[in-house]
Amino acid sequence: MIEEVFDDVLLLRTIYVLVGFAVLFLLFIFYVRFSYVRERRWRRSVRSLCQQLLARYVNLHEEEEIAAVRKRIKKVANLHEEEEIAAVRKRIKKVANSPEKRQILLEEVIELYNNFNGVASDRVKKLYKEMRLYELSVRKVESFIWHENIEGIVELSLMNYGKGVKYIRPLLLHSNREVRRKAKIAIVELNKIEGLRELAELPEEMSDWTYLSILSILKRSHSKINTTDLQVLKESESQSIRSLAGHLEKYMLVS
Amino acid sequence: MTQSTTRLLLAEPNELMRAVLTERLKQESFHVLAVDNGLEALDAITTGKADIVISEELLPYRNGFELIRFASEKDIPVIIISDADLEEKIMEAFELGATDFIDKPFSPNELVVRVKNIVKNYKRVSS
Repeated sequence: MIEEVFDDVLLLRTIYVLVGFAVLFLLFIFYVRFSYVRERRWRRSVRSLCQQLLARYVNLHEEEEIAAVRKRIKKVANLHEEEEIAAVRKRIKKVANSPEKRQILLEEVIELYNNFNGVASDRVKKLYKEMRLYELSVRKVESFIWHENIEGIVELSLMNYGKGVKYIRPLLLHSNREVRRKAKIAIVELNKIEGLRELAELPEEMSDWTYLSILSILKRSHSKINTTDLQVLKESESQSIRSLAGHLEKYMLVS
Repeated sequence: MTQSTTRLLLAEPNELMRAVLTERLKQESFHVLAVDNGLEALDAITTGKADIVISEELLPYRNGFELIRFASEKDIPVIIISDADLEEKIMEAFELGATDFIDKPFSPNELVVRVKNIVKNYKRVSS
């Protein structure tokens, strides 16, 4: 009799515990779902605001109007003029793991730059520097995640941010082949012949695709090479750099 | 058709591009109907809501090239925007009846000039 009562109580308690866990689990699922929906809505509204502002910004005629919109964009980017660079860096560090408004703005800026040229792309490029969005790209370059490295490299070279070279340089020796490839192309994109000289110091051969990409960058930028630089390339350990030097000597040499 | 009475149908799936182009075209006093997919664009064409169509080549449900066919039947000029600057793509667009072809990346100002040219030619032909 006592054993039966004991069993019943035990059973009842087990049921209570299980139901309790189930309720907690359900609450947890609701919470996660709610947070996700709220986050998505927030991102959508910020993205929409960025789009409106950028659309106005790239299409404005009057300088004063541009200044006014730029001020509003700064607000979106969580930047205030009175803040010092160090303070901004500190704030960015604080939100390093969560893509905030600046990240959304950066995504939109890159998107805009990819699709437009002329005045629109010039303004966007200016905005990238003024809003210090390159800091996010540099952060990606310094990340431990390889695909973020690539994203950062592409952003810096696309926006032609010359100071980004010093952050990209260490990635020339990255363990991931794709990162190394993108880094090589970006170094030449940003530093042209000087960048090529840096590649000459690397013993690693470059792939055909990298070779062609670099050649295309140099042709597009109408780069010229002098005899000193050419000699450095010719003495490189890398066969592909030596081969590139032969091509440059033929078509891009300044006597 | 004058600039202020011209109704432009802008079919562009990318929200940002749509916002930028709509803003720019409105600055020139055009009436802009912006849609993000081929079905809505087709609906606007067949119901006579557009005088000129500006369409991205790749659209959900119906692509830009399909729209050219429907627009041509109604004598509506079409400008195709594409990031594939392949000769065969450009040829295909013009063979289907496109009025103009813009290769990405492009300047919003360039689009405005091209639209204005179409309006100007249309006026010349109709007068």
